[in-house]
Order: sequence, then structure tokens, then C-alpha cells
Amino acid sequence: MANENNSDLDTLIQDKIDADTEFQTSLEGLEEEESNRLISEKKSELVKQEFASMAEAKKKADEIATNQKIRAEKAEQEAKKAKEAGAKEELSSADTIALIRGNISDEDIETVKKFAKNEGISITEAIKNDELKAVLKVREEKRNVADATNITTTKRGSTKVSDETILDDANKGKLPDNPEELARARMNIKLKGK
Amino acid sequence: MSANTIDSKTYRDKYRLASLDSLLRVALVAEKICEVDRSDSKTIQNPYGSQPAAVVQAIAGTYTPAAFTTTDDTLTVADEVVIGEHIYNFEKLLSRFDLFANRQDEINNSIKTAIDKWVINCLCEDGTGTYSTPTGGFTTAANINVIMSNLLSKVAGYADVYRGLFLVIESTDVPGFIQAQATNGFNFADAALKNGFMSNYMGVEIYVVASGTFVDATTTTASGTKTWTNSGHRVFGVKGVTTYACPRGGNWEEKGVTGKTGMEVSYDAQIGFKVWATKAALIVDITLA
Repeated sequence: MANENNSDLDTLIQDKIDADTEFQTSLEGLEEEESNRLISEKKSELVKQEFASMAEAKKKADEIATNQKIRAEKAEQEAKKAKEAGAKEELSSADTIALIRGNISDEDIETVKKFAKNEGISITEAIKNDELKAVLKVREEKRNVADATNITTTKRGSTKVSDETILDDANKGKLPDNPEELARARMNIKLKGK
Repeated sequence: MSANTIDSKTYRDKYRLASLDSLLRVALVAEKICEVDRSDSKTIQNPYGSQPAAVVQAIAGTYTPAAFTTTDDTLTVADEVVIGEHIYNFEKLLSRFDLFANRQDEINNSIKTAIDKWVINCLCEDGTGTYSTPTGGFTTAANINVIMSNLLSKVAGYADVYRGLFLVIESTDVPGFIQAQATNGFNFADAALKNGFMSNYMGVEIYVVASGTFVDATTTTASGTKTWTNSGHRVFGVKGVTTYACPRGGNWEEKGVTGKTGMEVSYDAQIGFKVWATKAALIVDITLA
């Protein structure tokens, strides 16, 4: 293997010397001894350069490998931390019971968890917190208003009070808001022959 | 339901207006046979042009031009229907709904009758068509078909007949119609709340008013500024060719007065009527023989 590498190196050096036209030109007209000496010096110089280049490449490769290893270890650690954090956010049995007893709506559970996390207190303690109670009350009122508001395209039918009921109530002193309704009810009853 | 009470004047005023409107809509004969104008107009102008007459002649290429002229025709609101009464506190009419509503019905009926009487008599007086019935008038069953066919011939062929035809009779005339149409069966039991509409007979809508509606009167409390000679008359014609005007509907007022407990209640409505000159022949004044 070492001989193969040396042979490859010799070939590489020889190719570089042959390709260096300027160096070849400088050898023309020189004595053979002088020419061999210069070639030998050139070879030594090129070998040194080649080794330096290889050392540099190895250094860079080592550096890249080290960086990759550091990144991989860091990512692994973060994943481990996230997993541990997720495990910590899951509700305990005590928290679950507290949420049930506190009659906390599904939509408010996240709010309670966030509050407890921000305040650094447990879910059970958070539910007893007056500030959180106020927040939950406001949210509940908003939900109640939204439930009572007709948000569909279908109009809700109003309860139709019969003419007879309107008139009976009027005779008892309970008059409808609109006097026209009362007049119409009386006329309708007359038209019906009652 | 809320805490509304008949003790509230505002509530009473609104109820009065609504109840009278309801009654007039379903009970007034005038609403069915006339055009009704409720705009703010004190007068309604309806000028008409002279009647063009086309001529057919032997070919000559000449013609004789006629002068086109216009004639003014105006409805003027010059009469009013009024009613007023004082209601003492001890009568409880303004504090108990049943008492209040019943009294209001009486007042409304009185107003309705006055308006109908005024409009129908004006209609009978101003129509230029004339017809005299056979002896016995409408009370003789055998006369009915004769009378109706003759009346139809008075308006047949005119463009406005498509609006429909009407005949206004008094309740005393009803027996003749019933006998004439015994096989068909009449239903006029609730005619009073169907604008007096009793039935259709030969394509004519028969409206019934109370006995004594057609009267002679000279500027009386029934005729206002008008003079009528309608006793023993009835009226037939084409619907919608006359105008009954009642600007702004009517006004109710309720006010306390010095020296008396309770409230004074009044109603006033201005009314006008016109049989337009170009259509006057389509209203037939029937004389009963």
C-alpha cells in the first residue's frame, strides 16, 4: 500500500515537472549533472509542497468532523431537554382533579396551565388565584354572549303569541309593547267571528 | 309583555289610531270602490283635454283641425269628520282596557259610518249616469236580473270597466237579491267586516250599507258642505274612477280641561271627494221606483 502511494506520488511529481514548461526551458543547454541536480531540487520542493497540502487538507477535514460532532451532540441534548419538558407539562392526577373540581372549561385549561407556568405555581394553586378567577369569569361571560348571539344565517323564530292570549292578557292589565299588536289582535278576533 | 298600561296617554293614542285604521281597512265601503288618497294634498288637480274625434271620409287628402282645449278638474278637501266626548274619571274608561276598547270600538264605528255615508252620497249625487228601476226596486226578486242587466249596459264598452263594477245597496234591498239568487246561496253574515261586500252578481260586486245611508241633506252634520238628494236612490258604477281624499289620515287628541275630571277626547279627519268629469258617466245614480 505504501509503495503504491509512493509510486503515485512520484508519478504526480514527475507530471508536475513535465508540465512546468518554464522549468523545462531553464534546463535546456545545461550539463546533465547540473540538470539532474536542479530536477532533484525541484522534486524535493514539490514533495514538500504536496505534504504541506495534504496536512492542510487533513486539518480541515478534522475540523469539519469535529464541528459536525459538536452539532450532533448539541441537537441530541436539545431533543432530550424538550422531551423532558413535555413530560413535565403533562397534568398530574392532582391537577386534573383540581381542574374538575374548579369546573374549568376545556377552553380555559390552556389558560390555567400558562398562568401556573408563568407564576411558577401548581395548577391547584393557580385555580385558587383571584386574578386567574377574574380572567376565567370574563372569558366565561364572553362565551355566554357568543352562545346567545345568533351567528347562523338561519333566523330564530320568535314565539307567536295568539290573538286570544294578547286580548286575555290585556283584559288582565298586561298590555303588549306595541298597541298596534293589540288593535290587530282585537280585529282578527272579530274577523274570525269570535 | 312589559309594564305597559292603558293609563298611559301615549299608549291610548297609539291604540286609537291603530284600531281605527284596522276598522277602516276592513269595513269602509269607500276604500273598495274609490281611489283613496292619503297624501298631504289640500287639492288634487286633474285637468283633462278635449276629446279627439277621428273621421272616416272619401279620399280627398284634406282634414279640418279641431282646437285642443283643456279643462280644469279639481278635488278640494273642504270637509272634515269630527267627533269628541268628555270622559270623567269615575267612568274608568281610560283606566280599564276592556271598557276603553269597547268605547273606542263605538267611536271608530261612528267615524266609519260617517265617512262611508258622506262618500257614498257624494258618489251617488255626482255620478251623471241615471237609471230608474222597475216598481219595487231591489226588494222585488223578479226585478233583480232586469235591473242588473240594464245597469251593465250603462257602462259596457268603456275602457275602465276592467277595474270592476260595484253596486251599493241598503240592507233593506237584500231580500230581493237573496230570493233572486236562492239557488246559489248568499253569504253576507260578516259583510260588515268585509268592507260591506256581500257577493258577486253578474260580475258586479254588491256592497251593503245600513238602511238610511242614502239621504237627502243640505249642508247638514252628515253632508258637511254638500247637498244631496239621494233618498230612494242607490249607486252603481265602475270601481276606481273616483277619488276619496283623507289627507294625513286622522288625528286623535286627548286633553284635560278646566273644571272637569278625566279627559276630553277628539278625532278629526279632513275629507274630500271627486267624481272626475271624464268618468262621471261611469257612475250611475239609480232611482228606486
